[in-house]
Parts: sequence; C-alpha cells; structure tokens
Amino acid sequence: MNAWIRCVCLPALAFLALAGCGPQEPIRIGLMAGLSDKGSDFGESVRNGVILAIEHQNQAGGIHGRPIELIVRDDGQDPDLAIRAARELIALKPEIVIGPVTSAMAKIVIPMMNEAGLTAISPTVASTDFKGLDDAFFRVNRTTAEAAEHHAGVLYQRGARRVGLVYDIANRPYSETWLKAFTQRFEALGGTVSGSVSFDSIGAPTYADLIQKLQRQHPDALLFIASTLDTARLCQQARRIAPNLPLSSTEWAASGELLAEMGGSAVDGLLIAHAYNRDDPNLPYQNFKHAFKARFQREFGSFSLLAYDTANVVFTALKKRQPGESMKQALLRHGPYQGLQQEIRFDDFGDTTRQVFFTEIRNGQPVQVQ
Amino acid sequence: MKRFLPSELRLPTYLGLLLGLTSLLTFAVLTTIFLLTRIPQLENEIRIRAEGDAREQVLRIELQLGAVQDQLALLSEALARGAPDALLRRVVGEGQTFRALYLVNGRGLVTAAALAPQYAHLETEALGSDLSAAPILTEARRQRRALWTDKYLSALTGIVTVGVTLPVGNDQVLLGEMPLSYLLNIVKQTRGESGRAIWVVDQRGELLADTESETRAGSQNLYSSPLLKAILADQPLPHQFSLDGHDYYVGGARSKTIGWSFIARTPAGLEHPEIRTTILIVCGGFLASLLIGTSLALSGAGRLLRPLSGIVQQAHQTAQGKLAPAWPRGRIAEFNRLSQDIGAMASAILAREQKALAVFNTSPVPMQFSRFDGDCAILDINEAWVRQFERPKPAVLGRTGLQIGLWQNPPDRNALIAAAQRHGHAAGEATLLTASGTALLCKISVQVMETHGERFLIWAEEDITDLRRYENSLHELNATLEARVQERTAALTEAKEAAEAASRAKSAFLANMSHEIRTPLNAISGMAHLMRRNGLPAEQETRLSKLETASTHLQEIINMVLDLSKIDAGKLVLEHAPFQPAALFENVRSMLQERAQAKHLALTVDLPALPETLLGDATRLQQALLNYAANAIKFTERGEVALSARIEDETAQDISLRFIVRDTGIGIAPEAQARLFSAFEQADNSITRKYGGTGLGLAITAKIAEAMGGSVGVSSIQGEGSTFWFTVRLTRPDQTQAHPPRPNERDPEERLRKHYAERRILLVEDEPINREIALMLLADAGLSADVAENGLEAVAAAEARTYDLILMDMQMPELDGLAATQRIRMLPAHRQTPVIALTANAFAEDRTRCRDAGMTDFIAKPVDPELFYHLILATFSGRPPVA
Repeated sequence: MNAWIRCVCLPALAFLALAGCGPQEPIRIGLMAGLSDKGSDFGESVRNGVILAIEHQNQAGGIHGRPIELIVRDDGQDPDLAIRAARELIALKPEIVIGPVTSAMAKIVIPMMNEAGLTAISPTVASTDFKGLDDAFFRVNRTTAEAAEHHAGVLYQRGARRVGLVYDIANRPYSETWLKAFTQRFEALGGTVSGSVSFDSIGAPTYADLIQKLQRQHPDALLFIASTLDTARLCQQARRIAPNLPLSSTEWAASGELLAEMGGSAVDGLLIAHAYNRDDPNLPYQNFKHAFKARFQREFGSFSLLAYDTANVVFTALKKRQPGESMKQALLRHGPYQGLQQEIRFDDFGDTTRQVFFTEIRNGQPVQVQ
Repeated sequence: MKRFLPSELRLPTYLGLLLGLTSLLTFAVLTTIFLLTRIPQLENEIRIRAEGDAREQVLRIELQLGAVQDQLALLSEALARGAPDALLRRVVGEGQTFRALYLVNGRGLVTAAALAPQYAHLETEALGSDLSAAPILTEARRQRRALWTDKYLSALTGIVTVGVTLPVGNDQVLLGEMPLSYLLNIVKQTRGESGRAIWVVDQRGELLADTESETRAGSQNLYSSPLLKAILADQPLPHQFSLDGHDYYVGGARSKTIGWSFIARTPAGLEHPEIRTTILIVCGGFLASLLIGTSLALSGAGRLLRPLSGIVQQAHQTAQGKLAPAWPRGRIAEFNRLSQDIGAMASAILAREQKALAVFNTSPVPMQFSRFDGDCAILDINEAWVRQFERPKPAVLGRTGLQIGLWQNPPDRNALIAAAQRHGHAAGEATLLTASGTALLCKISVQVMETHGERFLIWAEEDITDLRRYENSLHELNATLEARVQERTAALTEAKEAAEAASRAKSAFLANMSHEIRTPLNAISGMAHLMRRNGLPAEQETRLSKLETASTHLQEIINMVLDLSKIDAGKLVLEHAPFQPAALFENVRSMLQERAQAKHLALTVDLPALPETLLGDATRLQQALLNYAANAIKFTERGEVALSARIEDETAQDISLRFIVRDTGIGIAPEAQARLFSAFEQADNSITRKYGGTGLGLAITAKIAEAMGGSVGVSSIQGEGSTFWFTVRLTRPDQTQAHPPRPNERDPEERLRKHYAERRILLVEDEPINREIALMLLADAGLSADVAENGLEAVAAAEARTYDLILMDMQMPELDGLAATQRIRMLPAHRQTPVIALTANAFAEDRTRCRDAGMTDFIAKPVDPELFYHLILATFSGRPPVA
C-alpha cells in the first residue's frame, strides 16, 4: 500500500510543486477610454501612457513578482457603449480601473463602479462635479474650476477683454463647469464673455457656423473648450473667418501632440494649457519622452503623461497595500505619490491638484510661455 | 489507501482490480505517448493553416487595395481634364469605398473635396483646410507613389480612418479616406475554420480590425509584441500568444505594399475544437478500453478461479467439521494439486483429531474439556473422570463445574482460570467433590487450547489424596532422621573441638617448655663461655667442658623434641635456596671429625660428580645427614663410617639424590629395622641405656626426606654394620643465579672494636642473665647498648632516639619481639634500622616469621659468640650476614 502511495502521490506532488513554480497569477488592471472614432485621439493618448507604464513596471518585476495585465475597454464616447464596457470591466474584477477619460463618460460609469465596489482612477477627468465626493473615484487632474480660473487670468493678462467661447457639449460636465468658472473669474477680472456657443462633437458639426456666430459679438479673443481634433478644426475655420483673433484652447486640446499636424498653419499662435513642463531637463521626464516615442512612434500628449503618472500611482499603492486593505484605502493611505514631474497628493475624497503650463504654437512648434 | 479499500478482498475482485489497474497503466502510458506526439503535430498543422489564412488575407487585401489604387490612378488621369469636384463626388458615391476624397494643392490646402452623403455638409469647411503639416502628404510627395497610411483620426471628418494618397499633376496630392469597416469587410468575407479570427495591424502596431470583435480595434497596440516583431522581421512566430487570459495559436503574414500585418489566430489547447475532439476521442477510447478491459479481467478472473472457489468452499466446510466426501478437480493442474494436498491435509488433521479423542477417552487421568470464554461450560469428560467423580456424562455436559458442585472451594477454580488466562496454562491443587460428596484432593493442570478462533480449556484432575498421605508420613520419617543426624554431628564436632584444644595445649606446652628450658641453658652456656675467656686452671677447664657438653646435649634433645612436634603438626616449611651439596658433606664431616677421631674411626666422604649448586633447604638436609652420621659414629666401635651419595635420577630441571651413611658398627636386628624410623624408637631399649639418645633423630630424618619428595631406608647385618640412606628430590638452580658469597671474616671482634665502637645499639631482652651475657659479649667487642626489658620499652626507646642496630628477643611479656618490631618499623626514623632477632629456632619457618614482621636477620639462642660478632659486623659494614 505504501508503495502505491509513493507511486501515485509523489508524481502528483511533484507536478503540483512544479505548477506552483510556474508564472504567478497576473494582477489585472482595467482601462476605460474612447478608442474608436470621436475621442479616440485622447483615448489612445491615455491608453498609450498606461501601456508604457505597465510595460515599464513589468520589466521591473511587476507587483511583488506578479505581472500586470491590462484589460482595455472602449467606451466609444457613447453612453450605451460606455455602460457595456463598464459592465464587462466590473465582471472581470480588475484591481482598479484607470479611466474613464472624459467627465461625460465618468458621469455614466462611476456610479456603476461605485455600486460594484470597483475603484476607478481617472488621469484626466476634471469636472468639479466629482470634487469632494466620498466615493471610490480618484482623479489625478486638477478641476475645471482651477483650470478655468487660471486660464482666465492668463488671457486677461495677455490683453483679452472680450472673449468668445465655443464649447463641446458632448463632454458637458467638463465644458460647462469650465465655462462657468471661466466666465465668473474673467468677469471678476474686468473682462467680458462676448458670447458662447456650443456644439456636439459626436454629431459631425459644422464649425464655420460657430465661429461666425461668435464673430457677430466682436470678441477680441476666441477660446475653445474642445478636444485636439475639434480645436484644430475650429482653428481652421477661425483663421478663415476671423484671421486676426488670438486663439486659445483648454488643456483638453493638449491631450495629444497632433494638433499641429491636424491644424497646419491654422493653429499658429494658439495658446493652450497642458499638465506638464515641457522644458523639464530632468531624467525621469526625458526618459519618459524618449521611451514613448520609441514605443508608439509619435510624440506623447498631455494625457499620456497624466496616464503614466496615474498608472504609477496605482502601482505604488498596489505594492504598499496591506492584506485586507481595499484599493481605495490603499490609495488614500500610501500617498503622496511621485509623478514624473509633480507630487500627487490626494485629499480624503481622492481629489488632487496640479501645476499647469501654457504653450503657444509658433511655426508649427509648441513653445512654452508660462 | 487503507481507508479506501477494505482490508479483505475476494480473490477474483483483487485479481480483477490488479488486471484493471495494469490495463489502466498500459492505456495511460499509450494514451500519453499518443497525445504527446499527436498534439504537437496537430498544433503545427493548425499554425500552418493559420499562416495560410493570414497569407490569403494579404493576397485578398492587396488585390482589393490594388483595385482601389487603380481607381485612384484613373481618377488622377481624369482630374487632369478638369471638374475635379464632380469627379471626386462620383468616385465617393455613397461612401462605400471612400468616405472622403480630397485634392490637396502644393501648399497643403484642400482645393477640392467630396464626402460621403452623411458628411456632405462638411465639404465647404474642408475646402481651404490646411493639411500641410499632415505627415501623410509630405510622405506622398516625397515618395511619388501611392501610399497607404496607418490608422489616423481624420482632421476633416473627425473619424478614424485609413488614408491612401496618390501624387497627381501640379504638385497636387489626391487623398482618399476609407472607413475601417471597409477593410474589416474585406477580411470578414473569407470564412476560415470556426473560431479563427484575424487581426489587421498597422505599422505602428495599432489594431485596425479584428474579425472577432468590432470593439477591440483600438484596444491594442502590438508594436512591442513579439508577434508583430516576428512578422515584421519575417521570422517564425511564437507558438502561442496570450490575450485577455486566452491562449491562441497564431500564424501571420505581412503585406509589403501597404505595410500591414495580418495575424490569424485560433484558440489554443482544449479551446481548439480539433484538439479537443482528438483528446476526447483518445480519452474516451481509453476509458472504454479500460472499462472493457476491467470487466473482461473481472469475469476472466472469476472463471479462472472457479475451481479455487470450490476448494475454498470445501475447505470451509471441512473447517466447520463437516466431512467432505470428495475434493473438487478441474482443468487447472495447480488447482488440482492444491485440492489434493488440502484434502490430504484435512484427512490427516481428522485422523489426528480422532487419535487425540482416543487418547482423551482412554486416558487413566480424569480429564474434562470445557469452553474458555463465557461460563466455561463443560463440553466433554473422559471415562476416568466419570469413574473418579462418580458423575455420568449427561449430568455434566453443558453445565459448569460450579453448577454441578464439583468444587469444594470455588475460588480455587477461578484462580486457575485466571492463571490460564494470563499464561496459557496453569497448575495447582484443589479439593473436588464426587457425586457422593467424597472430597478428593486433586492435582489439576489446565491448558488453553485455541481452535477456529475459539478458546477451550483442557483440564486434567488427578486424585492425589493417597499420594499426599504417603508423602506426609515420609516427611515425618525424614524429619526424625535429620534430628538424629544432627545429634551425631554435634557429638563429633564436640570431640573434634576437644581434640583440637588438646593439640593447642600440647603445642603451647611444648613452646613454653622449650622457652623455659632454653633460657637457663642459654645462661649456662653463655656463662661458661665467659668464664673460659677469662682463663681457668686445667682441672676447672675440663669440668667446664663437661658442663658445656652436657648443656649442648640437653639443648639438642630439646631442639629435636620441639622440631619433631612441629614437623608432626605439619608446620615443616622448606627453604628453597641455593647450596653446594659437596660442602654439605664437608660440613658434616668437619662437625663429626673430632668425635670420630676420639673413637679411632675413619670418617670418609666419597662423592660422585655432583652438581655444584642445587636448590633446597640445606639446613634440613644437613640435619638429616648429621643424624645418620652421628648415629653411625655413636654405634660404631671400630672400623669406619663412610658418607657417600648417588644420583638416582636426573632431568634438566631436578635431580634425585641418595644420601648414604655406611658404618661397620653393631648392626640392627631385622625385626627392629621396621620400627627404627618411628619417633621415640630405638632398636632395643638396652641400646638406650648403653648409648643414650632420644631416638628422635631417625624419625626427623624420615620426615625431612618425605617432605623433600624422597624416602628413607636401612639395610643392616647384626655385628657387621648398617647402611642408612635417604633420597631427596632437589631442583637445579637457574644458571644465571649467582653463588652466594661466602663469609670470610677474620677476627670480627677486633674489627668491631676498631671501626664500630661508636655505634648505638638497643638490646631488648627480658631475661636478666641473657641480658647480661649479651651486654658482656657486646662489651668485649667494644660496643655498648641501651637496654629495654620488654617490647613496650623497646618501642618507647626507639621513639626517643635513633639506633644503628636493635637486638630483639622474641618471647617477652607485655609485647613480644615480632609485635614490637612491627611497631618500631612504623616509626619514620626506624624504617631501615637493622633489627636482629634473638631466637631459639633457626629453621626456615621461624625465619619467615621474623622477616614478615620486618626483622633484618636473626641469631639462634644460645648465642654462638663467633656467629654473633660476624652478624653484627656484616650488618654494620652493609655486607650480607654470615649464614
């Protein structure tokens, strides 16, 4: 009988031991972004930042030896697709979801994830709608209010007194809070919002009409609250209809670096805000910049860097997480986190702030001005 | 394992299981080998098919895109003839191939545009748009050929698209934008095997299309994936690829014209239907064969072992005591042999059982057979038992000994059963009752017997009532016999003790008498010596000589009496020292020369070649020879006395010597010869009167010869003479032993006076006259001495100071010489001080006692002044004393 036990059990044990030595179960991280058609430019920006961070982390041994696996779901910037994507992600039970990218999508999926107890962290979502909520949603970007007030100051400083605004209601929670904060601050400074027009980027709008509408109120500057693509297209029309007006766009437009490619000479002189210091000579930033180019054959955008920072925040929290600690608790407890250029420090509601820089495009090249 | 299987299995089941297990292992090995070879082959086939699929896709898409390119080429030719807007619009049509077509001028501005109907309202906006920075246009101008782009987001329509550019005349570029769905449709048109999906990947690694999921496009960037790297480098693809937790077999191909890669994938492992089916078939086949194999094995084993079952059944019946008429036979030789052997064994067992039963029934010893477990009911009894206890079988069987009133004292029975329980057997005695109530003392032995897992007791109950009675009377007889023996023994012991006491008294008397006589003798001879030294008139000189002779004679008599008594008491101790036998004869001759001359007798010594040295007691030998020689001179009036020796027998170790003394004396009558050697006997009482003598000399010689391993004898003719002889066996000395130096001192007295006058001497002597003599002798040699009168005083004197010599008397009141010497030896100052004993006897046994007590030497009393001085001188000069 003993011989039997040896014959049968020893190989079985050996097999189990070998199986135990095999690769460890990966840590799954979800990613939700718009990756098809509209919004796929900044969605891809975020995705690439996360991919790069994960590849770097996995090369460095993953999380306590476990590799990180990314599960990507496309929200298509469409409520129905977003709900489907969120359900799929919830079902797959990742440790955390990075995303969504836009406030509009966040409005739809964050309540679902909260309900499912799935923590989410967005690199980009900025709407004040999410500020100060005790939920399982973290944001690595500053709020629209901060951004808009900052922007108002910069424009006023550059001599603008009557600003005409175009904003994209496809991302309403973002653009409207941005618009509101801007208007308040700009008027407080002594300027006026000559007029504001909205468009829905989902519905293939005509941009010339928007510019023409604003032109009637005689603004001395135009400000776009729109994505890179829409900003490029608005610039194309603005340059035709009102060639001499100074143009400006929010940090949304800095999501990718394709603005110049898309806008050509039309974007010359455009002032945009972005979330990093492009003149930073330090190694982490420079390494990131070169790694990104090598990996994706293009320059990184603001959102890529935010996404890279965000992913690294997640990795740090995962590494430091104690047994029994939820992801939310870990994120709150183990901060502050070191980003490529800035320290990220969450308040009790998972909100943070960020230093922002301004760039003007001159002869097709971005030049940091402030 | 023991928990899962019962401890006992039927043989067919066991054999079936074994065979089943064997087939399981065989099939498992075969299946594993098959799968291990077949599955990789299958995987390879799948991968080759996948690669074929990918290549087919490349071909298809190249054909399709070639057609698109041709269309654009035609368009470019037409554009040269004008009306570009209309031309573009016609080509775009419903937007199925192209979503938009633009004509871009040399400055990068859109000069003509046509969009699919759903985007038609953007046409005016598109016109004049600046695309100068778009890399696709600069690249198209540079390469001057049709180029396909990677996926990009159209700046004009805002949708993800794939572009194709074609340089046309006037530095213009025709840009066509195609929806990704168009490409997907091309890929989807081919139906590969089920589960197969295809990825289309652009040069940046972006996923353009996935035939499996429309939403998956955009979720991946495979630029860094080994898969894409292998395709781009035209190398073999990795065997498997993991995506979203699933493994895939992959095959890839790349279109060189458009730069895209096509990767066909099918689920890997069990998720692949072909592999799943293969494994299912093989495993199903395996299970089926196992099932069939096992059931065949089970039924085969059952069939094979049927004869064995018959044997087993038969054996079981036999075991239960049923007689089996015949043992089964079948077709298997081994089973037949087994059956035959078991049958023979069963018969043998049966025969033995019958024999045992016969022994039981006919045994003269009353026996019963009872159950052991439970109530120990009696199962059988033999005839002897029935007779002894007068109880018929029917009254006993099935009942217990207690129930039938067999036991006078039931605890006896319980004790026996308990002992049998412990040791397997028991024995004892108990009183059992017959049916009529007669009590029988029985010797009972109980043996436990185990058969068929049941235990029984065999009792033998032998009546020993009469036997015990005889034994008892025998015991009584023995007891009185013993008392008588004891009585007699006591009487004997008493007699023996009385005899021993008498002997002790005799010894004490002899010792005392010797002492008492010797002390005055010592005084007499000592005084005579001193008197002669001072010079005397001739008459007194003669008288003094007579006095000395008388005294010497008395001393000889006493010594001989004493000596004989000691020899009789078995106290003769022989020395074993080297001596020269020739010298011994010379000594005797010189000692007797004077007497012989006085009687005008010739005293001759005639010796053969004797060994120069032998080992033995020279003193005793000399005594023996002297006795013979002295007697010969005494009883010879004329003629001669001849001393001679003869070697009787010799070996390397020892030698047997015959000492012979022949005389020409009066001779001895034959009837007297036999008594000669007994103590106190002389040949004739008249002889005593005529010649004197104690009659002890010959007896002593006989004893000495006997003690030395020899004998004595005499041959004599009356009136002619006698020949006395004795033989002794003497050891040859070790050749290396040195000869003892012979003393050769001249005038020791003078030397003492000259050299040792200052030496301190302690004289220990209780008898005043002897003390005086000793002190005088010492004074003559110029020596003085302290005096102690007994042992205690001697010890005290020794404690007080040191001495160069202590002269110690042996027999003293308070503390004798031996004890005093022992105490003195304990004193640190006197460990080495010479102590010389003044003793009456000089035999070996006396010397031994002196040496044991720690004495250095001894001198016999009465003291011979010459010897005395020699000894003291030897002691002082550190040389061995004179013998």
